Amino acid sequence: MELLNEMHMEFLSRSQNESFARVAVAAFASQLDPTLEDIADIKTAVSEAVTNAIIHGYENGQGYVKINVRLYGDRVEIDVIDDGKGIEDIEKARQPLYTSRPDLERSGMGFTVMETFMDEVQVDSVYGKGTKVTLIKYIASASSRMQEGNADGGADDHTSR
Amino acid sequence: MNVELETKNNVLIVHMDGELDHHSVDYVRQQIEDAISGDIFIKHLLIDVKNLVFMDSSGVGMLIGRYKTISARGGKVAVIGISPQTKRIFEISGLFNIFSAYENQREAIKNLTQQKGSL
Repeated sequence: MELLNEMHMEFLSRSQNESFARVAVAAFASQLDPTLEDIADIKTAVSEAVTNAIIHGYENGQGYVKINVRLYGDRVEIDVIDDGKGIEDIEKARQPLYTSRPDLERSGMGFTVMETFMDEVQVDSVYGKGTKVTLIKYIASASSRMQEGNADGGADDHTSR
Repeated sequence: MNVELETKNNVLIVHMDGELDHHSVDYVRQQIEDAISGDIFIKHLLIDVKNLVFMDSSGVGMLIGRYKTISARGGKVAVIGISPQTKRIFEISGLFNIFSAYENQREAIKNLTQQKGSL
């Protein structure tokens, strides 16, 4: 499937921006005509990834969180990137209930929620340099929406010319 | 996020309106903790999530923390107004193991305040 649309955003690592980030990504992804449940899943997973970047990546200090969203006919791919401290042991971080900050009343369920709500979750991290979490969700209704779009002349018609 | 607190019998009822995420948990935590520490007769906690439009794992951590506070007083915790999205978060995180879910406030309070051994 070819890329239909793409966007990048970048914002300060402030907790106020968590809500903005998940709403912005969900609004962009809505071009694929996802179900309400898909939208709720995307919002929750993005919220988890952005929260991790702010709390763990930047340890509540200042930095920029970057998000890339790519829309394909059958799926949405979301990168959440920070230039923070990185994850020393990714496998351990992904364990349910594991938290590196037991002092902060964290549930340790962030990655588990991402994995449950998305179809694929990839974590790349360089310790001391940063982390990239890629969230992928397949949108069932997207291909039928695409066909309708093409029949109408297609708003996203950069593909077939 | 807006939090409205009310006390019925020895149950603290917390009506949440808005989004429960990392940004809002500090405020909600403070509201609940202040209410509990300000009233020695509060024993149980009932969370009303009917108007909660979003919750992620930060909310889970905060709720587990309040469960600990209430447990230390020998009380129980319950939840009402669960939506499909909130339900999934509760299920994944195992929150239903500690928060009993009820249909409405009356039923929840009845169950929370039931004395052990009474008829």
